[in-house]
Amino acid sequence: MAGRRMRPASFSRTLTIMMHKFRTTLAGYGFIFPAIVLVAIFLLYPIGFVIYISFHKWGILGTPVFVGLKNYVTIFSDDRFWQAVLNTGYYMVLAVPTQIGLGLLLAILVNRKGTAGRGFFRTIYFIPLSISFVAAGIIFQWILTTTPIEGFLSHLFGQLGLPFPQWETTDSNWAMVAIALMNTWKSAGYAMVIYLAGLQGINRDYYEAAAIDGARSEWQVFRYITWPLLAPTTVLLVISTVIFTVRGFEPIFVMTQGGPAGATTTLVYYLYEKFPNTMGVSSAAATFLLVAILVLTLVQFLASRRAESYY
Amino acid sequence: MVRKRNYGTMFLLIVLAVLFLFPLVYMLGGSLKTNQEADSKPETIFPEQPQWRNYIDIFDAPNFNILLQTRNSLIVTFTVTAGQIFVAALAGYAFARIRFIWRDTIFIIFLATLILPFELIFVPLYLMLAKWGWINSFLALIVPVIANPFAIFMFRQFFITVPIELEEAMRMDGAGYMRIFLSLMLPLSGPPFLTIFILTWLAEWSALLRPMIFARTPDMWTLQVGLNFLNRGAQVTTPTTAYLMAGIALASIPPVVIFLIMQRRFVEGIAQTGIKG
Repeated sequence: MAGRRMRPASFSRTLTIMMHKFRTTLAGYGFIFPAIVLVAIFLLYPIGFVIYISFHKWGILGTPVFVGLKNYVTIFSDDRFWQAVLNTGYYMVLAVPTQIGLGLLLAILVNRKGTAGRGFFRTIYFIPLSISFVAAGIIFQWILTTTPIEGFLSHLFGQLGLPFPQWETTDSNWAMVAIALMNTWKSAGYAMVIYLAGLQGINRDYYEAAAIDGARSEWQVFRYITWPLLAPTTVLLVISTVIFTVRGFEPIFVMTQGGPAGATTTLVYYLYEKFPNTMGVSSAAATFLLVAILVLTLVQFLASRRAESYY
Repeated sequence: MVRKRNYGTMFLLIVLAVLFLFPLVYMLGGSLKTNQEADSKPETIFPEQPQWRNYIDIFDAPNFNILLQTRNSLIVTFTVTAGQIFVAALAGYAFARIRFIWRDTIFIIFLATLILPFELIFVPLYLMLAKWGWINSFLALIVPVIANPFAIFMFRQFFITVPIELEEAMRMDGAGYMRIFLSLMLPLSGPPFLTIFILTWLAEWSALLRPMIFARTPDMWTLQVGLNFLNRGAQVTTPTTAYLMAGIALASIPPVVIFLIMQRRFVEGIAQTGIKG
């Protein structure tokens, strides 16, 4: 009796639930429809396509020809490719610590109590972030140039009797320093803002406890309280800054076009140079970089989990 | 003791501020020199005789196409920004509040594409757009970047915080998802709207690689592409360095003004998410 009454009831309930689920799913896909179509076409499909191209000889004219791993052999036996790998590392080493370090210094200074005009200073340090790399690159080029005529800083060094590297010609190792300098000016405000948020998230009790425990110098407080508590912020910043630096194309394109003698040709610039005549080679380099970014992100993610569990 | 330390801080703040402002002052100084002076005396900051006319003359200087390229930049930046907000608000609401099948999987795939830089996929994109005949059109400059997973993420995070009771009350009255979205969620979504507006608008205004590759002729160039072309030694017989400085100064006004007006939103947007616009 009870069974007979239960069955149709539960059936219709299942049906209602299914109908409901169907309708919400329909509604959900309706809402994400534009996003899913665009992401699939312009973000996901190109990943597969770039890998596909990397197995072909693909020029701007003519039909693509399947060549297997030949493009990978080409890049791995190309000295300029390995130079580009090294240059990317060099740029990272120059740009990431300076940007994060200066950002931390700015954040600590701006965050100090009892100084006038903190919002004003924060704004000033932050303004370069809203200026384009084209503008920043052109300005720094003219400040730092040595050939054919001395720019502001090179002239100033000369007046003081100091040597200034010929970064556009013979002292090619300094070309990346010039780019990193421009990048630091433009991007330190970003690290500052992230650190400011981190600093404001630190419970003031820690500082009081440190004072009671006899922390004397400001350096001690920073070393044993602030810096460890900022670890998650630092990890986040390192991840985003490393990725931003690795993909940096515009600073190099505007200031040096990869030169002198390939000294500032990073991986991204290398694959731009191979476009559009040897797109297969360019895509092999892009695939290599894609794998590198995946590995880098994974390593940093794991490291950040360890760092968080540690502090 | 405390006072002394604050003087030190103040001193450092001022020195750093001077260093940070210097390149901008140098740019403005250079923009007021004559072209010859800017080219032959880059070591000076200020002009011998300020040439205010540069800012007028630049509009019909040869090879400068400021008005047309500014128009192109405005079309691209505002369409991309509006498109991103439209697409992201819809998707963000669904990811936050509608329990559809495979929702979380799709969301994770969207998020994973955040680490994918445009620099890695411009070759396949170029080939796709070329095949469709989109190269050198606004379609190529706009459509590929309308879907921004980061914007979707921002809207989702915001919609999650809207009290569920409000939505349930409307549902009791028989409202469907679309009506809830339009008359409840959308009017509330000022914060993510402004954050995405400023981050996307600034990024698009400064963008160089995409417009440079997808727009082939000067009449389709954006302002940044045009100015960069002049910098890279456009074949001109007379120097245009001061004009170029005036050009980048003019091109910097809109982003700096927008930034100053919406600074708080910008800072919060960046600090909340840690992702650069």
